Amino acid sequence: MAATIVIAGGIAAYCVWILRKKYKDAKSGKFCSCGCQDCPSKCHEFSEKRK
Amino acid sequence: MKLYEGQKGSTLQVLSMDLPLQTERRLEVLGMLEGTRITVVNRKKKGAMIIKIRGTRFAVGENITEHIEVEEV
Amino acid sequence: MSTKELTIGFVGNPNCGKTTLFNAYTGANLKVANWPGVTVEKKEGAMRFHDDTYKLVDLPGTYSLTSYTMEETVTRQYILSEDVDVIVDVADASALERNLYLTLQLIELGKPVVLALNMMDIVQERGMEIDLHRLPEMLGIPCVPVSARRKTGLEILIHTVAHHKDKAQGEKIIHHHDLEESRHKDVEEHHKRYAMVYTDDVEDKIDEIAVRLKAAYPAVGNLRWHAIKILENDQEIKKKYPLDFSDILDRDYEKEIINQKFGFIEEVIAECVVNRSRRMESTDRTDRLMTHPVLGLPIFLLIMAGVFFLTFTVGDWLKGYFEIALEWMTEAVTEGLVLAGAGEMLISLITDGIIAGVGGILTFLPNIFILFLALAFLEDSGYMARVAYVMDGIMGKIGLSGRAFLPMLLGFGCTVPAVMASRVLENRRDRMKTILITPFMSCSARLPVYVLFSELFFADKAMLAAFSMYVLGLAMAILSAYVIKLTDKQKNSNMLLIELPEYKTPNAHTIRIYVWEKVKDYLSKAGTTIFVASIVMWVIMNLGMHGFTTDMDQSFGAAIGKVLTPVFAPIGLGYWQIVLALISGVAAKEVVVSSCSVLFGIGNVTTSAGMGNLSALLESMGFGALNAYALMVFCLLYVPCMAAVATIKKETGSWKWTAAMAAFQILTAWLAAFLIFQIGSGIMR
Repeated sequence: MAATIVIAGGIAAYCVWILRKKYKDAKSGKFCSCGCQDCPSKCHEFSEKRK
Repeated sequence: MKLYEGQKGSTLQVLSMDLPLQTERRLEVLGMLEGTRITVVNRKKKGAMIIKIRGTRFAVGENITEHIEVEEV
Repeated sequence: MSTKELTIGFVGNPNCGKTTLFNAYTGANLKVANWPGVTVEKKEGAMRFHDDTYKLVDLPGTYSLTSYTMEETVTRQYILSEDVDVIVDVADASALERNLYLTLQLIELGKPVVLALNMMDIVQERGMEIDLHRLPEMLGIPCVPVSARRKTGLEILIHTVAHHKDKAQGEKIIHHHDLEESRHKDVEEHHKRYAMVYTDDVEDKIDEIAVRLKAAYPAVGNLRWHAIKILENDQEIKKKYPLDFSDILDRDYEKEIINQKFGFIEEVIAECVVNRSRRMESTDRTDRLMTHPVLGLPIFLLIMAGVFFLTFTVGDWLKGYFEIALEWMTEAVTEGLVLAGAGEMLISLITDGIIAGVGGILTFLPNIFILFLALAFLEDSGYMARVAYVMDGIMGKIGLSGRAFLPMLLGFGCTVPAVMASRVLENRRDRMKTILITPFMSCSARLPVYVLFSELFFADKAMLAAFSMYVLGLAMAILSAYVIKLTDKQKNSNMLLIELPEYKTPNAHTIRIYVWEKVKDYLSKAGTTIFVASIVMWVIMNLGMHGFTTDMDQSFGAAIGKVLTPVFAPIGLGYWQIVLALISGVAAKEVVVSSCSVLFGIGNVTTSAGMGNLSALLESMGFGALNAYALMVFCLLYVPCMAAVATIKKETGSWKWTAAMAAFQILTAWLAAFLIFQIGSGIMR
């Protein structure tokens, strides 16, 4: 039973992390893994600009 | 003659352009000026072309090639 | 040791290898696209040289520094700002004549400029020679030969930059212009200080403007540049200094200034480039075939078919190994969980939910890998830009320029960057139209759906069935644009004007970056979006009104799916499981597949055994090949994934538009599937 709780807890925590990350990314206008140079997504923008 | 009448492989000299200012300027900064020689690399029936200006190839649509006056060299 | 870090701005024509050079210095892995004009934003990186830190900024490629287009204005404003200490002008040395125009403009800005002659390896290959002593003499700036691809000359370039940073321009320049005898009072001074000296009447005008500008705005720096810009009738500068120059600007001087710059460039080329005639003509020969007026289009379709064929065959062959690994993993995990004493429910969640969903998607990685590998090859070879020319005729008929086809092509990879790339179109109407039709281009996420269902139901014709999706998507995109054009009274004023790069052997590094990015994106999607979606799917399938249930018919999922079943019945998809899978597919299109494996309780839907199970199950429900085809069509056309919808919202800036687009796509998908299913069943009867 202990193992069940630990594993289920781990999965739940991971899900929460994913959802939070996705939410944050979407908020900052980022929708993919953001590596493409030709992609004008907001990822590589200047840090000054973000302020 | 107009540029779109140019045959494949021919070398032509630009006489004048009659295009919206912005398009004309874009062509000019690419080095397409009155007096510039251009080569027709390839063309389509309707007048879209691949031309070589100063060693660089450009694809241009027929609505541009129709408005450029050229003469054969 | 300097206390301030030096900022170096990389400027250059599109496609001059600027980004490759930037990557070589910063170790960054920015993707390099071999078609011009897609980069819109600046990128930043850092490097250390000796004891100093340098900030490197990669700016969008531009042909000139006028204020006609967005990119040019952005680039110019940034270079003029205090931030940039030294400008590195990256020029494609194999096309120096065209590149020097920007160089002359940059020199006029008055900041320290270093000319990086990139692609020197190609210059040598072609048997050309550049006089590296005469060139800096004529231009008055250091010129450093480099090859970003071969990584030669990099250290020398940065060393030059370090030493050139404080040098104000104005040192003696040794060059001669072929101008008629000049009578200008400052002619000697001009020729000493400026690379570009104009004819007397232009110089006179520059002086006149400079005097007036100085009187009104004593603080203006680089008077000469501002005066030239005003003489060129530059709207931005004129707005900044709203003086009346109408008496001086008696005619169009901009054209004359451009003309004279090119006149000087011709002189430079004549003196500094040797053996110009021995250019390689292989690009011309290749183009004769690839851009053939009649054969161009079939060749493009054949190439796309080839890409697809590789994706299917080689991808599937590799996929077999992934499936074996997945099967082995499922067993190992189950055993491990049993040993650890995990509950039955948890084991079900992990094996039937997570592994079935995420694992199922991971087995498609080889297909995705091959697809992007092939696209990377096409792009880096220089072919993609030609497609804009090949498609220009067709695109013209539907009221768009051939240029709009480039974002659409990107759509074969992923809709998100494709929608964003529509920014290259200047006209807002065209942008909207392109954004509307781009989602019809079958993106890589839809590939698993086709692979799974076509292999299930079409046996040896699987590849044909799947390829037809790509053609259908393209046809739907063109058809929708055509319908819009019919209802649109505005005349098409699109002008195709795009540079065609030389064909080249694709660069291994560039391709590696490109493919790795896509693979990474796919993996991260599997680990995040699909992970969560699979769990959600498992939960709603195993929870019902009475708590945990093993009878899926009693689950919440079934209840939700059944509500919508009547809507999907006419298109042959009236099965609550399928409806549910399609709904979940909005999260990401791959989820349609992962949901199916969770829904039908098949741990390993992609293996042959799993497929056998699924097809038997489906067929017992009355779901046959025609239904499968309708499903594929619906998947192709209905709303793209959430990420794409969010991107569309961002790019169009309107929720109304976005909602209208989504409604249009669902309707199109439904109608297309309806026609196919109804006509198909009519024929089969």
